[in-house]
Amino acid sequence: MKKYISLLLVLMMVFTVAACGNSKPQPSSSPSPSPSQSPDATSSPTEGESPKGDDDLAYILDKGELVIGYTDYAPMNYYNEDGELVGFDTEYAIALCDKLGVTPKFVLINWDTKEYELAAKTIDVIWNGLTVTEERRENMAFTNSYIINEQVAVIRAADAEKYTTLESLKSANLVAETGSAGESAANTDLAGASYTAVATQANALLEVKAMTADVAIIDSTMAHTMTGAGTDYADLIVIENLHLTSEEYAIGLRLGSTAVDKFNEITAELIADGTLPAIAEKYGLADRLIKG
Amino acid sequence: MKFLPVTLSLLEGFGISCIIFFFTLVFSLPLGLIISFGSMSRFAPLRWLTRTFVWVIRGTPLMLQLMVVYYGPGLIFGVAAFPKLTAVLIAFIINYAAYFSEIYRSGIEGVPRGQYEAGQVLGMTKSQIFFRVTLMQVIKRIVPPMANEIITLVKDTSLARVIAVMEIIMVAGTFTAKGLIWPLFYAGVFYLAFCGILTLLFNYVERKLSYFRV
Repeated sequence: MKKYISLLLVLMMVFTVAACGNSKPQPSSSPSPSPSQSPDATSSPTEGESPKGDDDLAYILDKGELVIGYTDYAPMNYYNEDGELVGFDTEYAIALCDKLGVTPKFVLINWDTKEYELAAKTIDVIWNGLTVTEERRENMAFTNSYIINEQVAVIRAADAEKYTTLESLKSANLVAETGSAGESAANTDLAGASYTAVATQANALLEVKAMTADVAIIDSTMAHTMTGAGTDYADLIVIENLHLTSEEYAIGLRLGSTAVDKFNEITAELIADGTLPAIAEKYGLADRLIKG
Repeated sequence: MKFLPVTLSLLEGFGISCIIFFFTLVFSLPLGLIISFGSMSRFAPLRWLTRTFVWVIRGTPLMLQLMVVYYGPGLIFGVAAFPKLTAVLIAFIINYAAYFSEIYRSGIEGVPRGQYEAGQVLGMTKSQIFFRVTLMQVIKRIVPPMANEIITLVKDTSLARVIAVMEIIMVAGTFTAKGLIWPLFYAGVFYLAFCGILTLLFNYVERKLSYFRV
């Protein structure tokens, strides 16, 4: 009996290994035009081994869809009251895909593992208010920046008089999202202050409200969306006239992607024909749009 | 945001959690038994292989295993292999099967040797002894440690959010991102209720199986 079971087990393991090998030519996840893709995959066996060397634009056009990685992040990509995905980046992506001649497919990702998603081709672009940083340039290719992303300091309303200047903030306990623009602002403009990194910008606000930290450094848009009347953070305020390092948003593509130039070209067209300024106006970002 | 829409969204997320829980259990329980046979095999290479496997699976975080299953194929072969939920189920089933296999092994090896001998004396075959003598006692012995592991599984389902599967904690997190804190803690109530039901169920099973008590 045991011998048979042993044999069965060995067979199962062999089968598992074989199954792993077989999963290779499967298309990314959805029933996209596979007839055009499958022959491609078999005719160029080197494709899988050097994803960086591929013609990324051809890969996307071939699939006929652009898989866009996003997180729920107002006002870039978020769900409105009817449960539809809206936002500046959402509409921008739809407009760009329309010109590119592909279907946009939005996929919810974990922000912490976005680089893996891109490299593993589970998504084609990160398009979700992605801040351009030098570290990120090592893992992805950026298009031209399209939005200026200001960082602001959020404090408890009770502390309004205590924290007014950069100098006064240096004695506070700072908190920001790990790897975010807020973190770099905390480490450059407010170097020397005690700083803690948390998982998300929302957690940073939670820390301030729960009194486990004094100041959250987060995106300006997010700060204004999340605080104030109707939220659980009605007792938090943004310090006005505090100039922290601002950064820029761009679309993140795979390293060495050939699609970058095409994206820039289409974006320039969208700005010229007024499409993008109109979307920016709709989401209150008109003064932050970078017009070429 | 009102209480009802939040509850409905959380329920939807909890549905995903339940799917992960249910399928993991259904597949990892039998798979665990097969792995336990492997780690008790008299064929040394197989025993060595399965024990190494169990060591690797129990020795690395489930969160990391989830990422390996989901991103691994794409990173190595350049093509994404599994949809998200499938990747989650694969990682959970393998992980829990490894844990279950050790529980089965403790149960099987805990049955006194004399009973096998008694069975042999009576002329029973090996499989008859296993299914008619050993297994019955094994089931009864392993209920408490299994219950422990299964209740852990309920809460481990929240790890699926590492690859952005919309389980209940991730859903609650989207409310936090909109400025509502309470849904996150409210989500805990769902787990608590579910674990409460499981606890009652296991108590009942334990009572029903308390035959042979000396």
